Amino acid sequence: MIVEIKQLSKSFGNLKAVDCLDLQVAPREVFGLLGPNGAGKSTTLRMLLSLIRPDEGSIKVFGLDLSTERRKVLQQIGCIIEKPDFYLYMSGLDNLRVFGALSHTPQLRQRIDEMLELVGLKGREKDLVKTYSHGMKQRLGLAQALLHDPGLIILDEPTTGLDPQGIIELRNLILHLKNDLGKTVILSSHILSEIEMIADRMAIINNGKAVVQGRVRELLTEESLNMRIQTDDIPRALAVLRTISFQGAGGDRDGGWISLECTREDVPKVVHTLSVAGVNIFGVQATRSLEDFFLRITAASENSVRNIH
Amino acid sequence: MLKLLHAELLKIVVKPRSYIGFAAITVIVLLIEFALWLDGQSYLQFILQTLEQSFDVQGNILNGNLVAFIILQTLIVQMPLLVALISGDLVSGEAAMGTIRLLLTKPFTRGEILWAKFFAASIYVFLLILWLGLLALGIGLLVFGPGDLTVLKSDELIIVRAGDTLWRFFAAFGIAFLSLSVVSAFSLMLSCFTDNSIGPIITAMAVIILFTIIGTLEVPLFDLIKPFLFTTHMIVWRNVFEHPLDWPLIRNSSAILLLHIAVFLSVAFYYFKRKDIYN
Repeated sequence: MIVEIKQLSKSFGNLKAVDCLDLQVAPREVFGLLGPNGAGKSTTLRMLLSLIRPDEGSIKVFGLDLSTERRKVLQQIGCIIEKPDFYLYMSGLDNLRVFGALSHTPQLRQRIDEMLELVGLKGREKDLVKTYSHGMKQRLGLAQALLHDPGLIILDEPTTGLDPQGIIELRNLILHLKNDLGKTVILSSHILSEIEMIADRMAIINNGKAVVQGRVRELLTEESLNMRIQTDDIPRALAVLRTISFQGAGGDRDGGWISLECTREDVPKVVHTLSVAGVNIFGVQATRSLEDFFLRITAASENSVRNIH
Repeated sequence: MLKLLHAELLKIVVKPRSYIGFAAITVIVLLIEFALWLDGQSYLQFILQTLEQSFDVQGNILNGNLVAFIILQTLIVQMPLLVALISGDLVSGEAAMGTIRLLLTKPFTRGEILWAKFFAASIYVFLLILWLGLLALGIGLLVFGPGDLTVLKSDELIIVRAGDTLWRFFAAFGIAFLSLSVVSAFSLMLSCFTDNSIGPIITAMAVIILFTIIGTLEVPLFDLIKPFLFTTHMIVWRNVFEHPLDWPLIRNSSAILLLHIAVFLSVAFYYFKRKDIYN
């Protein structure tokens, strides 16, 4: 395991921010950390980076105990925590020089050029950071995090403030880091679809505890999908669906779309049945209701906590 | 450690605020020197008027050494405020800007980071004093020429021979460096306590002003407190221009200043090493 967190706890006064948390992150995977605001995600990541001292528990990174081998551990981590803050009165280049040198980056100048190219900031590196947009700072943050070629990259809400194009680029970059460079990435996000798209495994944290943890595909397989079908004969389509026990809904005012709840395995069966019955199908959409899943999981955890009390 | 020190120095060099001290010293010193060049004799006559009733004062009284001494007396009071402006921001400024998160995730101990900040601040203080010395003594000697230094105190007149002044100025600058290092350590300590950039600077300035006021007021109650205030010992540089030299007093005050640095830094290290970074 790249990261092994055992029985990690942290309290702020009477508030238990992280409560006996166990997490494992395997090599070369993108690990998603999900949870509502105040769930303990950021506190966990900060403890992982030794910004906050845990009350109890242990953290091992690359097999090294963070409490005793802090320097060696941090040498192998690149991160953006919360938001990419830099020295505003310095240029992007000078910021990278400072943080690159502090990360003991070999061939710093060359690495800076490569990273600027990678994040698309080439040509703007000599401008003061105070003139950068949030998206540019986020890119600079990524360049800084990757500068010393770390094995583990921690990104806390990295898509915040990025435009759609930036989000797509970031997503591709994370996948490139994992697939082509063999990096391990821990990603916290409140955008559930983000996690689904790029994470291999995930943990949902609520009230400082991991309420569910596992492979994303496996966790979400049993979740129902919202299936939408576009047809020119809605009444007939609904009637056919009823023969295979599906209650669809919809009408012409929806642009000829009907919708129904089904599982992932039901999708080909539904399409096949409608086709065989002679219903014209012009479009099919199947989206997973991650929000429902997320709310159900966190609500269940809260209920169990209430029951315990 | 050298990388950290280099980074800290780069931050100080690039930050526009760092030049306020140099600009202020330049303006004040040049202004005083210009005023003394323009109307220094009248100023001297005013100061020496009671003395001239008893003594026949001859020679180049208004010389570079006296000008440097006057400037030193004027500026030593203001310089701690200029130092607090930089040192008070070293940790809290990073916290306010959010860069503390990034800095503390680099492979250095917190102790190393704080040492680097203190050393960088000390280099800044050294350069500030060097600049003051160059302007006050260098330009002073160039414009007003050399001569014996006349130090007028409330109850005595000390004349230091021209050839005996240079080492005294170096000693005075050395003590000034020690004094300003106390201010630097104090501001750095305050800077560790908060995430607000301005708070430690204002607090450090307020404490220095308060201590200086207590030090100048002749109130019996304050006389009990004065030996424990670092500002009391910061003015010991004046004693190096006395004859004979009161070495025990200079040594004692220097030791107390060093003790203050040790205490302030110890508190800063203790707190900073245990501080959780939330912002």
